[in-house]
Amino acid sequence: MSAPNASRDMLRMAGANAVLMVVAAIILLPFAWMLLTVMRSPAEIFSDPFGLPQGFGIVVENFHRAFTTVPMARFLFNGAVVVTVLLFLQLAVSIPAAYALAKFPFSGRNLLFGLVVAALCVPIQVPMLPIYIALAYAGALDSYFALIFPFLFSPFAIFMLRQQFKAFPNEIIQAARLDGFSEIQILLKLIVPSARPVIAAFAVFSITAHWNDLYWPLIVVSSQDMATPPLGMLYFRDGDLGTDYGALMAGAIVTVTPVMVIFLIAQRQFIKGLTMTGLK
Amino acid sequence: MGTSSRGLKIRGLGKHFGDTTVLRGLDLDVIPGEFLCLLGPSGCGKSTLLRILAGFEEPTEGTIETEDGASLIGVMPSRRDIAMVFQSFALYPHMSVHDNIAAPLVMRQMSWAQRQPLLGALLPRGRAIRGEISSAVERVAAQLRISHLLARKPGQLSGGQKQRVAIGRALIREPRLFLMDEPLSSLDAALRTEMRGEIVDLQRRLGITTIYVTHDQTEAMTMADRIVLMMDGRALQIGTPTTIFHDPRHIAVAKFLGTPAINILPGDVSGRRVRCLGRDLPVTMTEPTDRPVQIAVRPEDMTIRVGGKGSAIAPSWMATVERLEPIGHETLVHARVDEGPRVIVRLSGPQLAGFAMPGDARVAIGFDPVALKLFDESGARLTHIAGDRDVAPAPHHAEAS
Amino acid sequence: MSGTSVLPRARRRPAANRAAVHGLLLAGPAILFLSLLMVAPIFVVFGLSFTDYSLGAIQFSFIGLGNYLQIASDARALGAIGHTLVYVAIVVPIAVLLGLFLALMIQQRRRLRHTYEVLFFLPATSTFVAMALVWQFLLHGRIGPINDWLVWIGLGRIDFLTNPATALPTLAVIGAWQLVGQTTILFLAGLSSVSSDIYDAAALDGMEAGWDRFIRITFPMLGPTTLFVVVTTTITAFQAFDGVAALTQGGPAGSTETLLYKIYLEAYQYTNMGYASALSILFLAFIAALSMFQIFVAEKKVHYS
Repeated sequence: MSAPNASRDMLRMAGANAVLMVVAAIILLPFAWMLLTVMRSPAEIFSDPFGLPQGFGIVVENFHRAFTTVPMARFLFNGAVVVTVLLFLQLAVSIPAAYALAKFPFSGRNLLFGLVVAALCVPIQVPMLPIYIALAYAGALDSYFALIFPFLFSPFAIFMLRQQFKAFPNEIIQAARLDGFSEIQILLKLIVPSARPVIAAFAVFSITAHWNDLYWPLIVVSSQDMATPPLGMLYFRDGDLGTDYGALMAGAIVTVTPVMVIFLIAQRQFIKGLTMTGLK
Repeated sequence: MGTSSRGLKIRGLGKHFGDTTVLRGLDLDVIPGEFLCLLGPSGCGKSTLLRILAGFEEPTEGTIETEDGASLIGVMPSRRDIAMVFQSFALYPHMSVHDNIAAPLVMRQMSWAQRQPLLGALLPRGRAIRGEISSAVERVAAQLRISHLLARKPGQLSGGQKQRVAIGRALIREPRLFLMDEPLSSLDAALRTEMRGEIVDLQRRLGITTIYVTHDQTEAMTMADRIVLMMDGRALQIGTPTTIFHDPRHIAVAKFLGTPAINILPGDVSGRRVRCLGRDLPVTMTEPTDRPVQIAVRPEDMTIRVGGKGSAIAPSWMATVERLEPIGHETLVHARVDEGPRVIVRLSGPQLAGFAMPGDARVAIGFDPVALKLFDESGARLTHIAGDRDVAPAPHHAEAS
Repeated sequence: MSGTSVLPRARRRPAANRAAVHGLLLAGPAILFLSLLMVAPIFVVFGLSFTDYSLGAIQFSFIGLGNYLQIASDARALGAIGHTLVYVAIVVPIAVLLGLFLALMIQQRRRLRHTYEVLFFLPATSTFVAMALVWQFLLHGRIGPINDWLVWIGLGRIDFLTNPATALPTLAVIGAWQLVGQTTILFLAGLSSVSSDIYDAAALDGMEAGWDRFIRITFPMLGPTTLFVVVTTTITAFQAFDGVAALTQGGPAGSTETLLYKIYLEAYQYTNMGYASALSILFLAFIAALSMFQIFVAEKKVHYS
């Protein structure tokens, strides 16, 4: 009796799987193309785009060109410096502030929280304009400082952490005070460890957003020495390499891979981070 | 209600999830119009059985037939003439109370086009049918005393009100079988007692066969016509509350029912004689045998004497009182029998009058031999005769004695 | 424990006062950067929007609403707003509807669910500029494989990114490609909050599967999620920049100049800070309005319990 039901379900499942696989194929097409192209010599790319790769030598050759014609290693290093230092400073600013907003009744607290929420609604490109003018007058453009500065205040980090800290039981904080913990010790030894998942989610979010950011580096960076990977990709486009697709794809792979590796390692925090944001 | 109540004939029903077996070879006849409780600890398979009856899950093996012999296996849930009340109530949070109750009728009485959100209002007859449905909703709501809540959303209701709406949604379709999955467990204690009475009244009035899952023995004892006591995917015993309580076929049944739990004393049978902790009991086995037995006596069937000797009708054992638990109308005495187990004695009424004793008091513990139940080591019930009365699963041994 | 003897002296100040001081100390850096990087700049932008300030100019003057009036008569500025709206109008329906569709399909998978989540999410994690350049290659009018396939199935070649008629929609589709994973995962999160009891009850009531269950149960219960997804996707799409900067630089014939790209050009290429500020205020108004709607209206209206 259950046979018609079961076979109908099987059909539906198979149909759904087929649709999902087609969509997945379309979504993954650029990644596949990127890998196919990097395995080809410039001539093959056009004559035989889907043929089997002609050996490892061409892959090495393509990556070699990507790293020699433009300072790709320098871009990657810049990206890593900016992302790491920025994350560290964002947390150093946001964690104490979130703790204060969650647990300390100081005057102006509601105003501060209101401003944090309001700041969530402000696209970062707007305040960037005067910041750029200030940096230009200070002669600080085209530097790591310039790349990092506008993002030191992260309303998103403060908001997320504040929600998390608010849930931390007051009794434990009071008990810790009675046991002689200082406020800093309470924050570092009790509160921060309890928020580790949220901090991880924010870290992943921040690293992704700033590694991939193009707008601000495009504005403040003028020398290749300070370029981040996305900006580096534009040099590929603008330079003599314009039509060297093998090297371009090698550069793209090198640019995309670090964040993708973090994603594959920390999928859960990653998805959580981006699910919680919505607001970039 | 115009429809007749449903009976069910369940045979050899089994359900496995991978390596886990949830139901094993369950046989059960559901009598049309009865209030049947599926009682058992969590994980005993009672909810799975209910979900299979509703059609949410298919059994791995076995058959379910209606009273007229039609199989229910593979029939879509909505085609089974079944209504269900869930533990979580499962009300549609985005619909008003009115629309929640109306939902089953909208789906059954309106055509596909008529029930679509915008299109439906434009179609002929749509309005008329909506009117009929609304008056049905109002009738049911009046019956459950929730007429004033029809415009609200479930989020604005109290637990008891949600419960009534859930029942209303189940009632409106005039089902032939009512399934309830622990419907009272998310209510507070006072409301639970009140709703218990209401559900029973409603069921008696409508006469719809009802299968009610619970882990609460008080609910089962007070509400059910019959109880199916389930453990480990099996029906251990099926019977009226009285039978199940006073005449358990298995020691697990005896242990599951009654608060505090039944006392178990070690004993031996040789031939037809039964000994317990060094004393002969004034009972005779129906069948002669030689084996250790478990003697089960409910706390209310135990007797206690301070400083006295044993009673005339039964032997007694010296014991030390460890703790008293007075609960107003009765007192529970926790005592340890010398060289024997701990037991609990429930004292109430005349026994309780003027009863007082210090801790560590020495007492004599005894029990009414008519009330004891004997089980073998595997837990199966053994029959015996106390005096000239047969104390046993009655029909089975009526002829033998 | 060792500090017990110090306690009475230290605790003499009223506790509330101490908490206030500690709170301000802890929030201090954030307050500083909030003022420096958010509050002050927005006032400055607002002020600049009434001037003719140009970066490097020694003096500048207030011109009242001049910049705003100029926007109203600047065909390229109006075009940029129009292009942004078209871009949003293409990205949002694709990303939202496809995300909802994929979430519904994936939800029923048990074993493959996680694999699909990860696969669909890959575009969102990868550097958009890099992937946009890959798309440019794929879509290339002469050497791109997609055009080869179009020819093969009998359609003609399309110069996706170099034809003014197709460039903006093409950028929008690439933008939607990047966002689909995110919307899918948001919808999946929304779907998992619908209890299985509700679906069981719906099955008994006659909504076993398919359209009825979707339109009566699933979709209404996804209301809050849907609104959130639509608003956040709109905000993201409104900020379209990377694709334009990497692939078309606003061309061909200005057909892909978005509002943010126009601001970028005015402010940092032409150094018309006053005019760029006015455009920025407009840009801020659009996005802040959407966010406010999200925070204050939607949160209240679409919640059930």
